[in-house]
Amino acid sequence: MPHSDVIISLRDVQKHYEKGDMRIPVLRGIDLDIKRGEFVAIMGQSGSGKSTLMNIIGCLDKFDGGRYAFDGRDVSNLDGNAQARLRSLKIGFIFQSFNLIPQMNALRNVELPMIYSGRPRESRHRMAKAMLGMVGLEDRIDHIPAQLSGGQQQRVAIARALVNNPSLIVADEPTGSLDSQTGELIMKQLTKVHKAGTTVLLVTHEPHIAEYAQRTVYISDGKMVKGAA
Amino acid sequence: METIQQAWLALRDHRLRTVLCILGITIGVASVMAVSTISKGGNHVVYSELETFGLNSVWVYRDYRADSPLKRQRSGSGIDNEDYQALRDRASSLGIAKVSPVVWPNNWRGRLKFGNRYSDSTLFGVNEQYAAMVNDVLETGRMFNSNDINRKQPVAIITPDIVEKLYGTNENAIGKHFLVRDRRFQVIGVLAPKSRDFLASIGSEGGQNANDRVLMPYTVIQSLNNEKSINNFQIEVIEFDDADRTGAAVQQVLTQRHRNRLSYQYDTMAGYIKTSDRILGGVAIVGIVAASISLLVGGMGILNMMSTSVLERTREIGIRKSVGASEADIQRQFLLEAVMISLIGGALGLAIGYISSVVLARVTEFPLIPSPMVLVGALLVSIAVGIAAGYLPARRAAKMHAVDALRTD
Ligand SMILES: Nc1ncnc2c1ncn2[C@@H]1O[C@H](COP(=O)(O)OP(=O)(O)O)[C@@H](O)[C@H]1O
Ligand SMILES: [Mg+2]
Repeated sequence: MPHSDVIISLRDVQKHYEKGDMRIPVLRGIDLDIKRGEFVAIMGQSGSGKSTLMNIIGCLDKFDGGRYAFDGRDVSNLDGNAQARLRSLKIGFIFQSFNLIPQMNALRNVELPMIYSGRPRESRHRMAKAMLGMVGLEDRIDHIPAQLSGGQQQRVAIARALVNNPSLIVADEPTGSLDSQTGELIMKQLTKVHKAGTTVLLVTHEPHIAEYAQRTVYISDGKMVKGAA
Repeated sequence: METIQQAWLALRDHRLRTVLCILGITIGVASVMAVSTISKGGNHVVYSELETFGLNSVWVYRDYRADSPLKRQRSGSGIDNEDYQALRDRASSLGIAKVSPVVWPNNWRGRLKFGNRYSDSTLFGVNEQYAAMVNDVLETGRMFNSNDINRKQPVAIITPDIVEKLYGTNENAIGKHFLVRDRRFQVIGVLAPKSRDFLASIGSEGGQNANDRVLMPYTVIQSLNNEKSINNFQIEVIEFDDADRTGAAVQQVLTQRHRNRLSYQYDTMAGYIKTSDRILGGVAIVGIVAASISLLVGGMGILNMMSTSVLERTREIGIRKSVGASEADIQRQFLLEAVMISLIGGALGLAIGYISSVVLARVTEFPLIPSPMVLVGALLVSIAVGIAAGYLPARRAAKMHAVDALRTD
């Protein structure tokens, strides 16, 4: 496949954690290619290293060995500032626990990424409102997270992940804290995001959630494996 | 702008904590301001009162101190009218602008009588230049002149207090008479009142009440004394900086004229000013150090609050990083919160310090209004305290590992 079609390319990516004197390997040489516009699910048992991998792909964490190219550019050795810039402009995170700032209402939470990407106040406001409308929360913009249901909070998080029009959405078990009906709703929303052309990486351990993706890859004990473990 | 709003929101979430920190800085800034203003005001008061003695003054008199080798070879004041004449002849080469003999009553009391009224006042003899040297101004009448001095005219300059005691209030005293040692004196001038509240209040007036004085031609006091001696010279030097040189030169002239059998000493206003500067400076430093400690405590309050805040908001920091905040963004946010606390505290302290010094100035009539320098300084200091106290917590927040931060709850 032509190089420019690949948005994520991992080669022998390794990651350890230090526990006292011990080096605990978490990722033991990950090879993974994701094409631009793909919707890929990553499955694996708890503790297999899924979140660690997602954080590395989302440039939120560093790794110890191997190569990572994002959008055709080697980002293995980016400094903290460049990583932050990349996260700000190209990547949107969705977490299992929503991770909204509790003191801020929905609107301000959605505005936050645009503050760091330097968008002027007026357009920030407009964009945040539009995004909240898109996830069906136009009448909840001044609610703080505690005044929203889990599903609503996750929709705010989706709006927040999308406001800077990223090329990649990283969703780490986005339905893990939701009942199945709400989970389906969130997945429909992510499918819409994918349909709009954004690359979506989804972590889940529920097969019926993975079915929303075009392709599922499996990780076990820090390595990519063929088929479910 | 956005960051300021965010900092404001964050501070509002911890109202009590924020208010306490602000209070700490307020107290610190207010006390630093109070101390520096008061010490400046004190300086001013002391200066303006010393000025009433003449800033260029030098006093020369016989050295009676126990360790003086020529102490008791001869009794008496050791200064006579020929010495006075000698100083006048050589005035300009000695750096003297004006010189006056000062003659005190010997063994008699300065009691002024008018009918059955009397006043026990400080009475002394000087020449026509004395009043100008000590910044005495006539309210009415005239100063005695060299003619009065040469002809030993029984004339006197008195103060308003004495006018009141002898003649009653609202009386024009010029031309009126009084008796001293059964001799009749005529009042030719009345001095304007003098303010020496501060010196009087610390007992530095040496028993001489500035507003209860009688000035007479020195020759008149000499004849009442029945001897032609002079107690000391009051000298005004041409140059303030030459006070010591003139003092020493006069000392030498007198010693030589008395063939080394007597020794002399001198005091200068310049010396007194130096001493008072040293004392007031010391007081100010002690005060400012003490006040700075309260500012330091305020700073520690901010440091403590910001450290707690960073820990509590670890997850928030992780979230902000995950949506694209750089280290600099995070550091700026926390630094701004710290500076906002200290700046609000500083502004309040400034207001309190300013208002209280204005009120104090009204009440005490001391000039205690803080200068713009002090105001600007106080604001700069509070910003500096905020930055100093906020730097480490902000740095810690900025360096936080995003993934670890997101895992905390
Ligand atoms: N900060 C950390 N320190 C030490 N061990 C960690 C840390 N983060 C994750 N791990 C370990 O790495 C492994 C993979 O974790 P994670 O990527 O969260 O797995 P998953 O998301 O697949 O459940 C687990 O065994 C976990 O205990
Ligand atoms: Mg996980």
